[in-house]
Amino acid sequence: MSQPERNIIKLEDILVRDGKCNVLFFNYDNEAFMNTGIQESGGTPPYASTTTGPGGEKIPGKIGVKQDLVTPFAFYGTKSLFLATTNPAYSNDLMGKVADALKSNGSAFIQAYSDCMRGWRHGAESALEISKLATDCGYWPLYTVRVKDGIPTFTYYRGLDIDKDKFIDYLKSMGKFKHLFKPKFMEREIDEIIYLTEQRNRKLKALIEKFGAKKPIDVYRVNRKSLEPQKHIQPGHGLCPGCGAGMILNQLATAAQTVGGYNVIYVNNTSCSEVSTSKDNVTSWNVPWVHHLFESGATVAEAISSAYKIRKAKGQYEGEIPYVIHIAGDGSTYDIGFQFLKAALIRTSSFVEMNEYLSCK
Amino acid sequence: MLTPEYVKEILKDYTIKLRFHARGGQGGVTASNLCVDAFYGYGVCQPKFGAERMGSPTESYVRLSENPDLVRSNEQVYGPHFVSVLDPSLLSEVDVTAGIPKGGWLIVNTEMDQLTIQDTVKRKDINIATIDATRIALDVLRRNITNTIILGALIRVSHLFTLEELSDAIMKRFKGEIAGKNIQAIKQAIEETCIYDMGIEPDFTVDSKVPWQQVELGLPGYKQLDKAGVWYLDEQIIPVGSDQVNTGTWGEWEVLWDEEICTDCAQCWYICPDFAILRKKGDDGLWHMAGIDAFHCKSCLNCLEICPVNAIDKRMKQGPAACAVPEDQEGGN
Amino acid sequence: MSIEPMKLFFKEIKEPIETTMIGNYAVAGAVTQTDPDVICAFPITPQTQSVEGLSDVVHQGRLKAAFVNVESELAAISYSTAACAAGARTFTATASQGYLLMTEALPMAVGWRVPLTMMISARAFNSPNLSIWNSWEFTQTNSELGWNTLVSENVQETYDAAILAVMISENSLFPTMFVHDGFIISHSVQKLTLIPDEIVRILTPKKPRHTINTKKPGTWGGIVTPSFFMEGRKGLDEAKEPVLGIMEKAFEEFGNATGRKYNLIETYNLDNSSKTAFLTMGSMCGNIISWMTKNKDVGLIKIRAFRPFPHEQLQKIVEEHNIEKLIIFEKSDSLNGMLPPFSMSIASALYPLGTIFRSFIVGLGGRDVTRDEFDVAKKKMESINSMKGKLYMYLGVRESKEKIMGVEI
Repeated sequence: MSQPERNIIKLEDILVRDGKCNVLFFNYDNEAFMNTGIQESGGTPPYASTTTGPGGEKIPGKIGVKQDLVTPFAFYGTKSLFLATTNPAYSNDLMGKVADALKSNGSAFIQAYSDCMRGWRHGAESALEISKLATDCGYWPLYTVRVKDGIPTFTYYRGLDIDKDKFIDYLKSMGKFKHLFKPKFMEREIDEIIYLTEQRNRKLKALIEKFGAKKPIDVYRVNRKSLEPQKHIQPGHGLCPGCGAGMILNQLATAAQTVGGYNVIYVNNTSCSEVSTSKDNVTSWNVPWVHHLFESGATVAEAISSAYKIRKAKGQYEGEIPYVIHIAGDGSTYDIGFQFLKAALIRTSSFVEMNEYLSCK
Repeated sequence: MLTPEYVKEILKDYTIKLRFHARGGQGGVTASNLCVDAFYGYGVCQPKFGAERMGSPTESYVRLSENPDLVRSNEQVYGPHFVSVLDPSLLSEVDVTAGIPKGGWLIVNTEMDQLTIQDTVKRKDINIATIDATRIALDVLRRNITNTIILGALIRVSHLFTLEELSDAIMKRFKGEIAGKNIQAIKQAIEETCIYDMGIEPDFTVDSKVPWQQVELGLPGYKQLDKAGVWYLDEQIIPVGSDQVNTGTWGEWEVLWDEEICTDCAQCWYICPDFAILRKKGDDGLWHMAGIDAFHCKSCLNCLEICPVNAIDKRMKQGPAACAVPEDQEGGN
Repeated sequence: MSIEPMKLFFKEIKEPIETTMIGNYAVAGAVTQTDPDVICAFPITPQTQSVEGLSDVVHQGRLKAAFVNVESELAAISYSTAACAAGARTFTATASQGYLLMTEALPMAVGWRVPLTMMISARAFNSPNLSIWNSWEFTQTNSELGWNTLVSENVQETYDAAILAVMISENSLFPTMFVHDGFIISHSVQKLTLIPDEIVRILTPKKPRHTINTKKPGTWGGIVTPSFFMEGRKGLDEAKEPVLGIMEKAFEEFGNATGRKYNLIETYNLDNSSKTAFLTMGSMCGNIISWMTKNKDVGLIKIRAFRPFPHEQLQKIVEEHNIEKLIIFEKSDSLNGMLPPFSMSIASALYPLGTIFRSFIVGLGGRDVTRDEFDVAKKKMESINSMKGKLYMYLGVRESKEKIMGVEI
């Protein structure tokens, strides 16, 4: 078996591409409704302890699965999509994917692993270490799906293989799985978490094989020192120390600014990032930022993008159409906002054709 | 100094009010809860309502009285007679003495002496008590949680409840061994509290709420706000934004960057959740490491963890305690 | 994760227990004692602990119930309505935005006559900005759909209301919501007395009722043409008539069992020199009662049952005590140019009497309501003697950086 080939994607090459994404839908997944107090969501992994699914004597945490999100989107029958999973512990990969998404025709959905020291119960200083471990143990594989003309192509970066020892370390690193180890070692439940992850990765590997690229490994080459420090978001916001979402915003905004300058509009669903970056008259946002409802952000983001397109097509707007980025936590992605996200993602992926009919880009 | 008998007399017809200042995660609300649990009469505890995050300043309030009609009010507490500050770094960030009437008490967890505290808060008409709760916490509890310990200082100056009453409340709330340790720490705090009694008696019969302070004059009125509720950064209303918020006080560490050891590898730049790694542009047109933005850094220490050459270090912010009256001068004050 | 606050509910409560806790956990505890079969809610500040406490008793094996996390409030109300219609005693909870999202399904719970109970931790709507703090969303909308509504002043009352809601909904076969002011009551620690489990069991027996079942198959919620819709609606109206009486009976039974006797409307010091009374609901009543210890020439009418609205009882009270002026305080506004919503109910009820009143909109988005507001409102009413002119004002709002509207400092 020969080594799979690496596809080196340089940021400079991305920046000069012709494509433009209609909306980048970005999800930071901290695996529970953190803003309202750590309640269980569709993104909560099995047997994790949350405030509405606590690790109890009778019922040990969440009884259910962590829903798969990125892969299913590739099979809704759309024509042009950029889908990816990311992890702020692998910042070049995250920033490269954001740039890649923004410069791809159609629409894009990126999901990022977002550590939460408060909800997962561990020290702030371990956030990065745990994030890296999540990918390295196989729990959070980093991969990309590019849908073109309806056919998905799967590529990956790392994290496909389960490392059982590292996985146990991962589970032990945070309070939300503590009840699986003390007072007694809950072998059946721990095995099931690993088993479900293995099955997910197995499916992923099969898809990479079946719908793979000639060079199946994507490596983003980003010269970190060439990137201007981002000014979309000001520091002084209210996120917890060590917040994964803060790290993600750092990287997301850097990449977005590199691609779009200040011509970017953010739409944020109700979530930690929303509440912490806008309070009374001390907003953290230097670029336009919109909060509507908990669930509707994806639709709102799409609507803003469409409005600009049609206004430009009718000669009512001069200048480049703003990039629109939608930010949502897992609660509003997996659960209350899913209907809106799915619909908006599919509609916006067809904007490539609509743009042609309306003669606007 | 107040006596238990006098305090009991007051509580028959008036309310005594408390305020606690802490940071998110330090247990300020639990401390206020315990006051209500321990108090023999009627009591209410309100946290400052809202969603606070780890490290951001929080407040909670307590209203106590023997007269149920007086405690029935759900009004917030404006003129607290006893204010406890769990984290000394709050003194520079929050006006902890706001609303304290003449003769009221400020209790601070600190290593500073009372005269320094008095200068910091700029009030000579309130009494001050200090206790190095952090040291006791690290000694007895092995964790920097000072919320129950400061109640020892509160007992010493207020006599609102006894150690026995507080111990009962703690046993109900905490499990066995932890409860015992907390009670031990409180006992130590009662003994070690340094008291700076200005000799001014508080007048509990007067309510020191400033009329209409709940409306917060000084902020823009409805006629100045944008018609759609939008905050524009280039208008008179907000010239700056969150950049002006000093979140650097949230963490317990000072984060230090060693320029000599640093190899400018840029590993820490993009993993800082508070965008607090400073960079400057060089002649080569590229960005280079320039330092840490202490004004915003919440000392999560992830940069320290990721630095491959140990160019980032940490130093704890608080030092050892000091008392205004030196130990060898007993019999004065 | 909230084991500690719920500790008392993990064991059988054999005697009344005096303790302290926040409103939300008090509700979680009371609901636990009523032995719910299904709990289905979606988290929203400031309701969260009322549901989290229930997840604890279920996950620790203390309460046998289906505790279900769903993906939105519309899912929660749909789930709860259906579970209740299938015979399960069901509880849900929400606030503000969640309550709005539930709107489409609220009428069905009424139409199907399901005895669902719902806690509301009153919170403002997002307009134009997000607020998680207290306002009366439940008066501002959805109050004409037919849900019974009780409003509580403090932690003891909201604990009791959770039990009363089960009694009232199951006796009237109309869903019942019980409301407390978000944060002010939901998150404040107050003293309360817990009722022994056996007494709660006696107060809330599970009785047979109509359900979706195979022994008596029926077609639920099907389409009806103009031939039948009106009849269905009139049937609901008729069924609503005895509800206030059912509430009074529940209050009586509850009072006998616990010593705490509630009423549809409660009054304080109405035979006063100025023949004026404050009229309001919820936590502000506590503020006014405390203020009244120093202001004895004004009274208070405290509304507990908001829906159905006890208009006859209110008329009787105003007439018997010769009340000439009413100072209505409410935490909602309506932008309809006439009157804010709570006052609309009062105005309708008092139309036959023509009592003079003014509405004061206070405390929106969690602003504190204090003695300043009571002093100013009382003073303003002294010179008001007719119902001419604008009938409402926002009290405690900044007009500019230096000026409070309508107030001289």
